[in-house]
Amino acid sequence: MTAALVLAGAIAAAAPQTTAVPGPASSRVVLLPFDNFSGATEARAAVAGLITAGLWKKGYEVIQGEPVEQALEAGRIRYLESLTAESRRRLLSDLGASALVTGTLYSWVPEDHPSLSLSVRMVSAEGTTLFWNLVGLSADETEGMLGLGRLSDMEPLAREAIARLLRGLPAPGAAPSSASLEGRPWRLAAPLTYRSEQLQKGHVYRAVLLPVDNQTSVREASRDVSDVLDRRLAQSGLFDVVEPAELRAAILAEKVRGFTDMNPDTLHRLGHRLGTPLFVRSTLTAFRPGGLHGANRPPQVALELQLVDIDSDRLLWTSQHARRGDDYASLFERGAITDVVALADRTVSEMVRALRDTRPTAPKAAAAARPPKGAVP
Amino acid sequence: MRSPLTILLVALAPALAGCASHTTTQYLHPNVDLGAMKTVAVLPFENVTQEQTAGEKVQRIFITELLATGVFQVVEPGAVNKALRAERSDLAVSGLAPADLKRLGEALKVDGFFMGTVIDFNESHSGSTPAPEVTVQLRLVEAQSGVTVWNTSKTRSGASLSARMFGVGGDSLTQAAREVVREELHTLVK
Repeated sequence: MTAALVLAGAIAAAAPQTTAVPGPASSRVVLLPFDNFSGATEARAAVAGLITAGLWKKGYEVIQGEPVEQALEAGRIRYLESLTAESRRRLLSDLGASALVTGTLYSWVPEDHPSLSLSVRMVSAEGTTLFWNLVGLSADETEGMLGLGRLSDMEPLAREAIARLLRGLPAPGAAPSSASLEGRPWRLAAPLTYRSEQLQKGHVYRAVLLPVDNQTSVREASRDVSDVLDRRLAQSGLFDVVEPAELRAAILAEKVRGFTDMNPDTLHRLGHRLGTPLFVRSTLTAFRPGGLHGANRPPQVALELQLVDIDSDRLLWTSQHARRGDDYASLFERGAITDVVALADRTVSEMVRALRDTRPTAPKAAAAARPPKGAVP
Repeated sequence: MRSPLTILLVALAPALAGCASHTTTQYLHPNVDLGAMKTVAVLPFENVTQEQTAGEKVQRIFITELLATGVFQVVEPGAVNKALRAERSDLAVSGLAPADLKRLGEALKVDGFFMGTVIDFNESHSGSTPAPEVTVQLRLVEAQSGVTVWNTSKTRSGASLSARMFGVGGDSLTQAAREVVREELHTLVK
């Protein structure tokens, strides 16, 4: 633990602090404390330091620490991964910045075979996502041919992960950018996908992402998958996904008892308040982290999605998909995904990409009975 | 002129495509007018396997495959569960009488019900390759009369020949279930 704290301190100290001379508002961003699901308390400071350094390198002035904590307290903002439109505007206005940077640290394993996974998001005052990306990286994945180039210590590994995370971040004032939706490798089966013809190309549909129905024994899996699902749906260009903070506010206002109370009547009430009849239901049936400390067990994810129109009681999109980390391994086991959140992100990305690429199913005029061979009349 | 390699590949293709064991039985009502069935509901699948979530898993696969045929409008499962709860306190469908189905059909405004039972859903291994065993029984019942118009049962068991020969690949349980459901539906609609 002491070593980990020293590491966190070293990384944080190496990062530049907030500049004294304020830049133009378009380059000034507020860095919120990352949600930390990793269980490593020291990791948050280490990541904040590296993210600040990365943002500074791209030309951003970063507001963080004490002034941000005070503004969060004054605004009574508790959930940091998603803010309501009002909270976001007030926070940015109070701190004189143009965008918020939020993020989630999913895992941070500094010993033996180090690994980490995290995501970052930059949101404008208007709510536009200017950038989002997720990276999962283990020391094993950095190993080149003949074992060369392996990043065996946490500090260089974290630096490399965050450099990869921020690689596509646009410069201040540039057009929004985000990681692309990856499709399936040619040799692997496509997600099982149905797309209704009511889901037309060229339209953007406002949709509510319901909390993931987690049928696995990994408690945090629901949160992790919700996070990547939310972003990947928004990236598809098909959906304007309601912010989780807006959904939380609607649930409170409608006095919904909890996420288990999501029957059609409740959804009608929430849909009315949120301005859309479209809800995405998701069921996670497998979420198995890979073997820790280099154990040879690939991570696994299996997910099912349904887009429901509660006004017509019809399904507009259904998808099922399952992947293992070693599905992506090529020659010499290179390319395998070792982090389960990175695998979930890839799985979701393939599902959403398949939706985008699938032609809508046109209804047939009538069912046609196929005379069965050997049927019993 | 074909090369010997091409000839060999053409000759082996059917064998390599997969030779897991398949068994099918089916029934189609002689007087059924499927064209009259436009909107259907899929009732929760019964599960008689040891795998607790097999019913839900296969039901979801079935719904996607059914929608992909483009033949039927399928009512959202949440609305089906709500109507079923109003009819019965639990979600068991085995005890639904024709009169119950008629009332449900009116409540959901559907012409028919698809029902399913997952009989086998397990994965053994043949050496290191997966050898899934899946048996799914499906039924289509007319809502107004409660008459079964289509009934089919299909089993797929064992590893594909390519998996057995080369010891790589092989279908997962989900892929096997998807194949079974797709082939069963293929006996109903062109």
